[in-house]
This record gives sequence, C-alpha cells and structure tokens, in this order.
Amino acid sequence: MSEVRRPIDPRDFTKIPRIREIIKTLPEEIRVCSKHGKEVSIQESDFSLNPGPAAPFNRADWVGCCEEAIDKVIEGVRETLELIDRAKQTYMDELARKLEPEHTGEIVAIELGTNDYFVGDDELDASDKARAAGHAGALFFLRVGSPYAHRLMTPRQ
Amino acid sequence: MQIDGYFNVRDEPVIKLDVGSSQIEFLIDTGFSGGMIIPDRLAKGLDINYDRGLEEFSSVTGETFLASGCSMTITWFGQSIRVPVATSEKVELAILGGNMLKGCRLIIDYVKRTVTIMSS
Repeated sequence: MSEVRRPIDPRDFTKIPRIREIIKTLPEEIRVCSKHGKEVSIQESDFSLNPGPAAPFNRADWVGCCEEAIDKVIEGVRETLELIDRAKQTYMDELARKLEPEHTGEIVAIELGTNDYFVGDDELDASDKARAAGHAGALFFLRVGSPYAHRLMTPRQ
Repeated sequence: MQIDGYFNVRDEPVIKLDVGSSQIEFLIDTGFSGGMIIPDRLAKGLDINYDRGLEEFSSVTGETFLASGCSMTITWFGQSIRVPVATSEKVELAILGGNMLKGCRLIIDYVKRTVTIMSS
C-alpha cells in the first residue's frame, strides 16, 4: 500500500499533542480511510542533537494512505477545535450562570456540536448521563466554576 | 480495608493497582485534582474505553493541555470498579489524584517509609 507524507509546519509542532488527542475522538469513518482501511497519524522524525526551540524533533508529518484521507482528518481536527472553542464560549455565556454555584466543583459534559450538557460527580457520571440520553457525539468536560477540568500541580520532566 | 503502597526509586509515594490483567504503578499526587491520568505509552496496553471524551488540564507551568477522557475497570479495595481516567502524552507516569481519595484516609509516613490508603 502506498504511503503519503505531508510535512507539518514547524510553527505547529507544539500543537501536535493536542491534535493527537482530538484524532482519538474522531469517528472511525474519519480516522480510518474508507478506501484503504489505514489510519492517518502524525510521525515525528529527525531527533537530532540540536532540535528546534519548540520540540525535540526537527520534522513532523501527517502520514496516511492517500491525500484524501489526510485532508479528511485535518478537517475533522479543525472542526473539533472550533467546536471546543464554541463549547467553552457556551459555558461562559450560558451555562456558568445556570450551574454556578449550585454545581460548582462538579463536572459538566458538553456535547460538541449540539452544546447539550450533562452534569455529574465526575466525567464517567456525566458521560453516562449523556449516553443514556441518546447523545453519541464527542464530549468536552469542564469543571463547573473553573476554566479547565483538572489541575496537575506537580512539576513533570 | 486498606491499600498498601511504597516509596519508589525516586522516593515518591506510589501504589500498584490491578487494571484488567495488568498491574500499573500510580504516583499518589494530591496536587492533581482528578482521579487518574495515564501516559499514552502505558494506555496502549490497557483495556481502556475511549468514549469520545476530551478534557483540558492546567499544569504547574500554567500550560493547558488536552487529554482524552475515558474509563477503565480497576480493583479498588478488593472491588472491581469502573473509574474515569484521562490519557495523554503530556504525562510520563500514571498518576492517582485527589478525586480517587475522596472518602479515604491517606497516610504517607516518611519515618516508617509506609504508604497507606484506608477506606473510611
């Protein structure tokens, strides 16, 4: 099977971990090429001794079986990033005043696209409520009263 | 009931938990407000249910990063339970945070070199 590589702009190297997480949530029909059955991925290379300032590698590529498959995933990622921004905006504009302070500290799952929301004690509880209500879309979790879901305060690496 | 942990080679308090047929060492981190987060490289070998969830974390440097919000089954105080877990390439170790410790007593004894989590 042929392999197509499309270089990623070095200015976008810091976005790669974020993009990878989004790819995991894309529906299989977007992640996997319908013609060739291969998943699109991102591969880093050239781990030289003098890497660029933003990443420990000098090159990264989208890798897929065809250009169309890569285009589809890039479009899926772009769309998901927009939907995450919209979900955050919905939280600030509408949900904050509905949920705070009564649910402060709980987790809200916002379905990307519809912006329907479900509150639970944790991600599992909120997600179970969303799925039980028939919502199959990707969910974005936020902690009520906070701009993110969790804090990790121990330094790493 | 209690779960006994230990200090790892970096002198950090850790516990080992059964995750499906694997055993994973978790760093106990009360500076983490969530339940569990696992590095991608470890998550690949585990039976994790990716249910199309995403969540943002804020790190000590102020950086925010995106992680997959998923679930998995672990053995916790002898019971098999389903718990929320995040996976990310931005962490190097499996971490167990404050959310897992709700209703528990955590004793880290640097004199006796013991780590204990007790259910209330």
